[in-house]
Amino acid sequence: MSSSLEKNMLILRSSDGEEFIVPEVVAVMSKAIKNMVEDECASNTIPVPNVDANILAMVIEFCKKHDESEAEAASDLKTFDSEFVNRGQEALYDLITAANFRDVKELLDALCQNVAEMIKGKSVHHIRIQFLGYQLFEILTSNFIWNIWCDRDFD
Amino acid sequence: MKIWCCFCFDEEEDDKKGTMRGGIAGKESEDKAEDMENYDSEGFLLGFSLGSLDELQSQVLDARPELEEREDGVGASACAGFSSTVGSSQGFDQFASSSGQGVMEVDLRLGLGEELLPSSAAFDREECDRDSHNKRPKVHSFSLDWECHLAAATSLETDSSNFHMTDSKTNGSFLKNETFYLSPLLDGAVADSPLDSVAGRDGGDACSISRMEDLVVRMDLTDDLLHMVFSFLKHIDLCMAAMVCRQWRAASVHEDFWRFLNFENRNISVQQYLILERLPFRVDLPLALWCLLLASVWSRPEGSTGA
Repeated sequence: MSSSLEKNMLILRSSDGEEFIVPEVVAVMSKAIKNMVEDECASNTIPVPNVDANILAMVIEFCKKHDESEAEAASDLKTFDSEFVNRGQEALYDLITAANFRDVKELLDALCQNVAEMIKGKSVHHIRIQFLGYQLFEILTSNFIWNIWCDRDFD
Repeated sequence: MKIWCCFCFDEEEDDKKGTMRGGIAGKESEDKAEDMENYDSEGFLLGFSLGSLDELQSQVLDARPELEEREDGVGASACAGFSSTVGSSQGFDQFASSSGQGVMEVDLRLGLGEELLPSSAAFDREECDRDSHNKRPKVHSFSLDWECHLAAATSLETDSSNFHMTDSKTNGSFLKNETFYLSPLLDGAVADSPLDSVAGRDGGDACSISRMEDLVVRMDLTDDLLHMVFSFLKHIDLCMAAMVCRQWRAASVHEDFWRFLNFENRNISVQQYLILERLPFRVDLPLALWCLLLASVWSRPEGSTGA
């Protein structure tokens, strides 16, 4: 890729209208955006639907870091990855959806690994609580309804 | 299991029973490989682990007469019979040598490929209506159920001591919330509580479902994302994840994850493998090895996370 192309800047617009100016090399880490750029069907501004500004900022931060430190040690990148994905579960879910949608392979790998770490070594019960919000149903079904049911007189 | 036990130990071997049981309880089987009692205890262990699997139970029962002859032969000349069996079993040497190194990778591409075909077909069939049936109906039916019970409770004029009792029993914060929301309803006053949808149940249960879903953070991953996540898991965790819900099970039985079984650090001894080989009928060896692996996973002591 020539240096003149590298200096190209793209504008990404998130779903809530915020715009981010990123270099093209960073933006094309997303396969979806790369396809759009290669097909030259994109003007300077690329809309990124389904991804809000917060998540898009995180994704861009990740891509920038990966682009900069491509030559650096892989271990450095790994620590950055593990810190990056170490967020709340809600943000993690949004990120993983965005990464899947935008097809950012490195981010997706790091996120999936993190989710796998969350599953590892846990019992089924814990996984259900953590991922499916199972606790609410279980507590209600096991104690609450059962008590009412048992206290009914069957006549 | 009792039948197996009775069969394994003949009357003339009564004096050995004590030591056998000791061996079973201690599970120290590595260094006394050629020992007679240990051999029996291994047979016992295999019977137990196979008996716990439904698919192989009938096969094990079929195998009993044949093994009885074996037992007699071994009882007559213990060491010689054992070594001859070792010599006659093909593939055992390979197994022993590789397990001596501690790493055992078995290529199950053929066996499990056929094995997984029906399940993947079922997977495809299930896939089309996955979205409509995916965990939602449970919530839905549950909330209907719940409201039905609520109606019953109010119609029977159950006083709120029920709920206080429930409250004292559990420490879950969710239940406390629900009790809080429910008490005005039971008093007959539709209060302006924050969860109006529960009180105003005439308004349809759609909103109450959405409220319930808002209370918890859910990770509703799509199928390909689940596949990606599961590709980072080992077999034990994969088995655990398969029990979580229907979608996860369908994702976890994917062929890609079960091409290779890793027998590293597993509690499978040579004798267990040997008995599999000596069965009179043609055992599907990959399937049997797979069952052995699962059995060793299940008999794993609590707390250890495995390899």
